Amino acid sequence: MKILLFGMLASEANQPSVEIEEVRDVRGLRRAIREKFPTLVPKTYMVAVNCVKADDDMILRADDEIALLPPFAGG
Amino acid sequence: MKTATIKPFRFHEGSITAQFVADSIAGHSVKKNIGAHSLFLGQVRADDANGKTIAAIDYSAYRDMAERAIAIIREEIIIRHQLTCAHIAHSIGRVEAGEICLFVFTSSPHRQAAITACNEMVERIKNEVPIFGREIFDDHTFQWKENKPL
Repeated sequence: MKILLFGMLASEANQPSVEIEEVRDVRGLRRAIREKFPTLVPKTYMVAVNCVKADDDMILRADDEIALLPPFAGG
Repeated sequence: MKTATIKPFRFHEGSITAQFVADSIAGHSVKKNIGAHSLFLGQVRADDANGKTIAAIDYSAYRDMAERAIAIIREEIIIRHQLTCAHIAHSIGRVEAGEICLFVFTSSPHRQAAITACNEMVERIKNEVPIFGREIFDDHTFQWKENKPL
């Protein structure tokens, strides 16, 4: 699954997206990120699925657009 | 049957100029049912941190989500406060300290709706829209700006 990264997360990973094995839900996604990308572990982020904020129970499908969003800084 | 259409929002490349603001105000003189405008301008502040000063902010965004979110925020607040109109501009890319990065302009027949709606739009843009800012210091190092913890 392709996971889009933004702001400090993209900067920390040094790339605009990362690939992870297929996961069932957002909770699984967070676990996979922790295991595969330890440098992102201390970062706070929100998960967005198809441009909508997603909670940990949300089921993920292969064609979803999934993004990790660090704290917002608009204005 | 009435079909709802939401006016799309697009980011503004670089800083928002005084001319942009003036043109926007001038464009409203033909709308004679307006009795009050409320205008908010966000400006990049040259904060000090650890002996360094912020020289600029480089804004980026999850553009699809951010543009959709701002369009919806604008529409919801226009309807709730029965505004005559409302305009939002937010910078993307580099904005120097002292320059304008956010423009929110609301208009209504009477002042209270315009003022309240303007405040709500600013708060929601800061809290709900995936915009990110790299604060660039005068020595070219940077840190990431955070409005508040998620």
